[in-house]
Amino acid sequence: MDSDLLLIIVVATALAFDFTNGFHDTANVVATAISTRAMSPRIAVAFAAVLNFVGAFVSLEVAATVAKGIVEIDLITPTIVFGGLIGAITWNLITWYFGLPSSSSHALIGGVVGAALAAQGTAAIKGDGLLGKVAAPAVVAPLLAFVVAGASILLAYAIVARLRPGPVNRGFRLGQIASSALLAVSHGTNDAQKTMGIIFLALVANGKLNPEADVPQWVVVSAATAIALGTYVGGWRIIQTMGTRIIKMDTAQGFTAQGAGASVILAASHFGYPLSTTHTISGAIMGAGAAKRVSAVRWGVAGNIVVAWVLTLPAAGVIGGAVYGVTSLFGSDTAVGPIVILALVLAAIAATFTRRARRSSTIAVAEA
Amino acid sequence: MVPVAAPIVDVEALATVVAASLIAGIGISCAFSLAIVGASGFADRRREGRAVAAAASLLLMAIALGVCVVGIVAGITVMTAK
Repeated sequence: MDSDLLLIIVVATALAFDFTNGFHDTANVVATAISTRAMSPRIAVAFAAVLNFVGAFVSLEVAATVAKGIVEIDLITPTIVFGGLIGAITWNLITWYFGLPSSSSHALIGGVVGAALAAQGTAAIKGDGLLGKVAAPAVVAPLLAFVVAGASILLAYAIVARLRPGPVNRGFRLGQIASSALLAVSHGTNDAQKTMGIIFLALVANGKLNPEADVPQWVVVSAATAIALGTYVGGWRIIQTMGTRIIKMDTAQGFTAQGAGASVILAASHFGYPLSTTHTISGAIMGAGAAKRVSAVRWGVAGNIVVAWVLTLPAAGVIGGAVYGVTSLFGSDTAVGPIVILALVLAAIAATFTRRARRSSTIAVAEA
Repeated sequence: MVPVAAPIVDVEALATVVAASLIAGIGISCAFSLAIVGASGFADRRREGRAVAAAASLLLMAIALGVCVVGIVAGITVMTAK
């Protein structure tokens, strides 16, 4: 009974993470379309939410990697999964608060690896999988997106060079509707699957599933729904960083950046690489900007984003390990620890929002 | 000589991702740019009363858009088929 309650808590936490993933990553998907005015913010976000949902059904390769390729599934317990999820959620909220577009995917993987290390030591980690399936693609993907977007924009500019700006802008603005759609599908495909993989891991750890079983359909549907809802609620704070602070874009740059990001994420998803959509689309945006004019990219802002990327895996890992440590004080197979941790996290979130609301109202009064 | 990283990193899969991304990303951007050239040319030629040139531009636009659609559909189909 207690282990079932623990499993319910872990699955609910995984879906909450999926929601924050969509919430946190909305900017990656819609920022370029909004900043070039290809779509209004409200329509862009709704559009992205629907296509994130659709994208979650495209493939299950990434879910398999997250469930079986990074940690030793036989050594994982629901408490470890819970520690990893709280590590990822906490890091996502910290970076959201400071407006940093860090990677939800790396936060999740870092959190789970950190909790597994704290619980079982290095025996629980598949070093080959972590290097081959996470670290190598993590380096390749943003660079590849940078190159694809840079080459695409140079060729696109060359092809339309003799045309008047009006038809070119109108054309690429229309094209951005399609490229936004592709990017949203690719985001749903790669990111929703990470939650599916984590829930699968928890179900196996709890003895409800065989490790060789397929991902249950209810897991796919619930993960798709959670990420779509999170996307719809949206992360307006980060949209500003992604859409206008890295570079000022024209419609052709927006189109090529989104196309490059989508092609890299979809190709990687096919091989089960759990990529960071944030890294990939940021690389594409910088590539589209730098190809036109290197100084168009605000490299200082880009540098802050890189710092957030570098910190994400270890920071989420440390939080995940610490959460596992506190949770296990209450027993390894009991729901008491996770309930206490959830209460603390919810209290911290409430305090943060209250403080921020007070600060906003103080600023408003001072400005009045 | 076999690179040390080869057993850990699936170089072939990663190379396929690189090739597919380059072909799809750059290919679709170029095809769509050509579709804009076709659409713009069609509007201009029709206004000038040059029916044959307008039809050629329309054909360019149709082929370029077709390439985009086929590329996207093929990509999604390959992913869902696995």
